[in-house]
Amino acid sequence: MTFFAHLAFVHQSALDPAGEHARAIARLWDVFLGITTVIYVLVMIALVVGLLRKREGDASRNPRSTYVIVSIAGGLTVVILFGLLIASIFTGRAIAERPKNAIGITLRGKQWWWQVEYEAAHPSNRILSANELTIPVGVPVTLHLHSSDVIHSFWVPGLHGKRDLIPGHDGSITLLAEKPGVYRGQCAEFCGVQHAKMALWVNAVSPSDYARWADAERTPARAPQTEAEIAGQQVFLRAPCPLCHAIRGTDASGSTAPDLTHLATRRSLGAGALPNTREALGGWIVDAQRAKPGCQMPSINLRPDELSALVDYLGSLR
Amino acid sequence: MTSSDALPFAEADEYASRRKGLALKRRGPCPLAMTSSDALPIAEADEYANRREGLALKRRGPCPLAMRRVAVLLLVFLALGCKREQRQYRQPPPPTPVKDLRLGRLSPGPTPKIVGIRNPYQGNALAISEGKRLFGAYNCVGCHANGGGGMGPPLMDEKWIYGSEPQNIFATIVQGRPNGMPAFGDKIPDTQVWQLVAYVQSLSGNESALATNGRPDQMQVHRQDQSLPELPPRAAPAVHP
Amino acid sequence: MNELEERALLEKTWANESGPFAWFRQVDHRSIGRRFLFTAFVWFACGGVLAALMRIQLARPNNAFLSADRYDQIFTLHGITMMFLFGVPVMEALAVYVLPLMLGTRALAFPRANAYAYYLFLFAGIMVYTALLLGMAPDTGWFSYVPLASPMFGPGKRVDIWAELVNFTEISALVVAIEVVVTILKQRAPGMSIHRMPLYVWSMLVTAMMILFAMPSVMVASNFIGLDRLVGTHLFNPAEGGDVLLWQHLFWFFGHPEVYIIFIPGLGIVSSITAVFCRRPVFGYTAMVLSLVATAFMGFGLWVHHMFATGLPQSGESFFTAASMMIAIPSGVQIFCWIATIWLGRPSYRPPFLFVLGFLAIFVIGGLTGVMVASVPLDLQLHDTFFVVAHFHYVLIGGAVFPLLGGIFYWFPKMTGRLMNERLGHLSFWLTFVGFNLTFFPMHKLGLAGMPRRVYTYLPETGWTTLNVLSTIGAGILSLGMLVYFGNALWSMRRGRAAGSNPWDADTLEWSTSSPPPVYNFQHLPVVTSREPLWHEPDQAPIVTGLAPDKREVLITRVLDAAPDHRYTYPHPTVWPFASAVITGMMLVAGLFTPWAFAIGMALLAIFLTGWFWPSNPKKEGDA
Repeated sequence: MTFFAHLAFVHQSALDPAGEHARAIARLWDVFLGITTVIYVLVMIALVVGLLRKREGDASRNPRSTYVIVSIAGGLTVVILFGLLIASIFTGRAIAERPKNAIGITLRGKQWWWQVEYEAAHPSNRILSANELTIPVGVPVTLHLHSSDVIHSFWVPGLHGKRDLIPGHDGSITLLAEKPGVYRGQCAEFCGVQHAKMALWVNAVSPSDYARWADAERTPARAPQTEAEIAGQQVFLRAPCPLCHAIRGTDASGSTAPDLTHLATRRSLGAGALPNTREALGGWIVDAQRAKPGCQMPSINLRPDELSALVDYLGSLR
Repeated sequence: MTSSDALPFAEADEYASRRKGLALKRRGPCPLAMTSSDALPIAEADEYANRREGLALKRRGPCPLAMRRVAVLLLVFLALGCKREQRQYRQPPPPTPVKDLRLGRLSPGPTPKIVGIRNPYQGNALAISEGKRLFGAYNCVGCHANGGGGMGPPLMDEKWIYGSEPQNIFATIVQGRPNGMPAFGDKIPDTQVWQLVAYVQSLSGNESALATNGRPDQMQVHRQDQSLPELPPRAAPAVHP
Repeated sequence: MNELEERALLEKTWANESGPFAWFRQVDHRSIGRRFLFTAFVWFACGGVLAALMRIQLARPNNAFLSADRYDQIFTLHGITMMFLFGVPVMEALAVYVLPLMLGTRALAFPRANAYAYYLFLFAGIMVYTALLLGMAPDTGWFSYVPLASPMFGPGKRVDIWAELVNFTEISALVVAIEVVVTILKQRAPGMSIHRMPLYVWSMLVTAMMILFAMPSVMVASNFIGLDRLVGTHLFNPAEGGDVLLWQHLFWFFGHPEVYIIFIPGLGIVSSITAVFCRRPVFGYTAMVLSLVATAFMGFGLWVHHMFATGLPQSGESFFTAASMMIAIPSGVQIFCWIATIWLGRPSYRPPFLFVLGFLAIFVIGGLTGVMVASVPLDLQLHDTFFVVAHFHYVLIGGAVFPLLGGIFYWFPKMTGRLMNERLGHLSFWLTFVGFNLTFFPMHKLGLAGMPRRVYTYLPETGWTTLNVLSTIGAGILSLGMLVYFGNALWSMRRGRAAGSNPWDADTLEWSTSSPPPVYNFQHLPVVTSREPLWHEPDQAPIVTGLAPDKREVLITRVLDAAPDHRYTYPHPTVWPFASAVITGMMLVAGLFTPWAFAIGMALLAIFLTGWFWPSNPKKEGDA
């Protein structure tokens, strides 16, 4: 069944598990698929033979053997279902454990992006980001799920099943990546007009890479170096941007939109609406509604030179 | 009489099938066309009723004129909701009139004629809903609360210090005003300002009630004790000289 | 009096009116049943067109055929149409037509209520499709979860239209369900005791009882959201003590039985057709009846399997896994009994039976994928993906639409007096079967490959394009199959070969009267002494005598043994049902805008209902 997996360029398949929980589920899938396929084939064989066989005698006779066979089939159904139920319950218990020393991340679902906050005891060690998680391989990571508006659903098929983010009901889900890689996920509960473009990525890296990444993320924004970047920062601070966005290390401290401190490290804009390239970023700023109609990013009116400088600056925020 | 039931899976009455559509138009019973279903004593074989049914089948339904009238009425009723329900995500805002505004009641010389600008989002449910979201996102609630005011004047009442016309509210938001109203001109894009204008007007009942939200999905502003009498406003509203 | 005189008198007593307003005064169950069927199939066609639009949009990544908002309205309306405007009503419509004939009685119970239910159903569809044309159709999904449907996140009147549509269709469904239950329990032919009832009648009894218990839950949910939106209550506002999950419980407590309500009549139709086309009664009558009843009861205990991703306690979820798997047992027993029937009988491959074979091939796949999604860990991957879309289309199209198409073909001669063209029937079956599988089988893989539901587009690098293209091609073939089928039906209504009273040599009572039946159904009401009345005693059947042919008298029998109990006079055509339906419709549509509509509307409705129920002078023939 992984036959088609190679055609995809993103890793978003439940049948290509890279996490402990997804692997347990994929094993259960194999069991269910095997058994149900056999059942189906047997039933269809019975049907076809029943259609094609030669008959003699009175059609409305009910021979005793028929009662026996139907009863046995019914009994077998019960037994097989019971077995599948047991397998399912055991797998369910296996994937529900909550290890104690997990890295904690608070994930807030918003229309239509994911606010990511790495928890830490000291506030200055917290990491704020959007739409992407970086996690170390082999270390459990517990996501605490909250929703700011409607019901969303966190789902990265390569790592685990899904869990809804429900306003008023806080939930959590634990991931454990087994292989390094980039795993894509999407919101899996219809949450409004841009539900289709609410993707998120999980980068699973080695623990040392993770530590390096976390340290880099905690630093404030890189100061602008070139003339264009300096001008771009001025454009940023003068434009509507700081009312919603934050760049730590500058005066911009808006909290309703994604944190842009390390924007250049992310692989997409608009939670998967556009790739994170210079051209796409320019288009996103000027006319976000074209790429993601209905999203909360307004169109910002800038002169071409201002836009170019701003894009240079934002592109420098590594 | 045919032997339509002599064999299992018997087919049609050849006589009737040859007459096809004609059989259905006959107005009276035709003894020759009676099928052999009478061979079964409890069977019903009333071809007369059969063909009457055929006639009934051909009738098209209720009086077409009545149906059309009902449909038109329904359309009119619901068409009144078109503007309210539109969801334009990429509508450019109209040009913003910063001059030609009357901010106060006094003006020297003859009273100028003001050409009003209609809020492009007036009566639009999505815009009012977005305006409400922005009202919180841009922290208007910090001074104006949910319309009741605090540091800033209430927006739910009928006193408009700088005018209640859409372009006046627009200008107030964009230009700022003395005594604490910041100038949001560079900081909030025009489309969003118009959405805020629509929402602010809805707070004081100047917007269609049908387009306004029923209730917020947040905490309500409660009266603590339902038995308390209505309290007078805490500060006299500012009167512009 | 002799036969002809009696027939003429019956004809006159039960006659339908003519004239410009006769359509609005109709109470004859066959006429209402035909309208019901026709209207339901019109909504089916509309829903099918919406599905075709969705498939066109999804055929290419980043397709701009439909905007996001449009797509959301379209998928919502597709679901609403198929579930509320087609799935349940079409099965009820078929029952409205067929049941009195199959039970050997002259009319359906509560004929005026039947008309009322039809008009409400018609108005429901008109309202919601007008909304679509105006660009304001509901867009939050057919299940309309809060908080997306709450006032703050669902601006405008779209969700209110959803809520009123639910009110319309559920009142209509409840009223018809009451009629079905009463007809089945109290109006069977004498001698048709409870263990001689045809399996189709059992399936409709079970379905109607399920409707009575399930529909109120969704009406409560829709009126709660109406209260939240119009009156400002906080039932679903977590910040003020409400609960978002309450909606899901209320909705799915209805939503799960709803799908059984849709396909259990299909199971009844399959039993009817299998018996006739295998030339023998269905094997294991008692097991079949108990399976139907068990499915109905168990169907109420499964609803949480729609909520496995919401984080409910694990032990609770395990219970619902067990229940969801358990319900496969009675369905499985039924499948085995049908296969046994085929095995023992002499099958004949005519179109109705082909549709039954298609049902078996498709429904079993759907049932097995249902067992998969019943398992919580699997469901955590499969929930809200195209896998579930594949699953429920397999069970609903396989389990309800295929039997329905077979049933229409089967009962078509009874309803119209003409046979549908068999060659076109075969062609439409194969097109539908191949097209259906090509459309929906790839969706299993799409769901496993990570494609969630309700997305208006996707990116090319996800790799989902190929399967989506296959699915869209399949949708084209499926549409063609449907066009051929319904073209066949419409053409055959005028030009099909005339049919006798029993062209299939079937066993149930409706085949003993002419095709189409006279307006009084049976001149001689039959007495039944076996499960297959027309196969066991075609020549010696006793009949009922004593009902007056000059009044609309119907024989009421006892519940268990169908012994004659008393006679009851049924009403003549009257306009009160239509007028009441118009008032109800106006009340519900005005209820989109103000809650006062209900207060005023109820008062007006009370006046109209008084007129409806005003006792008539027993001396003259009139409304009972």
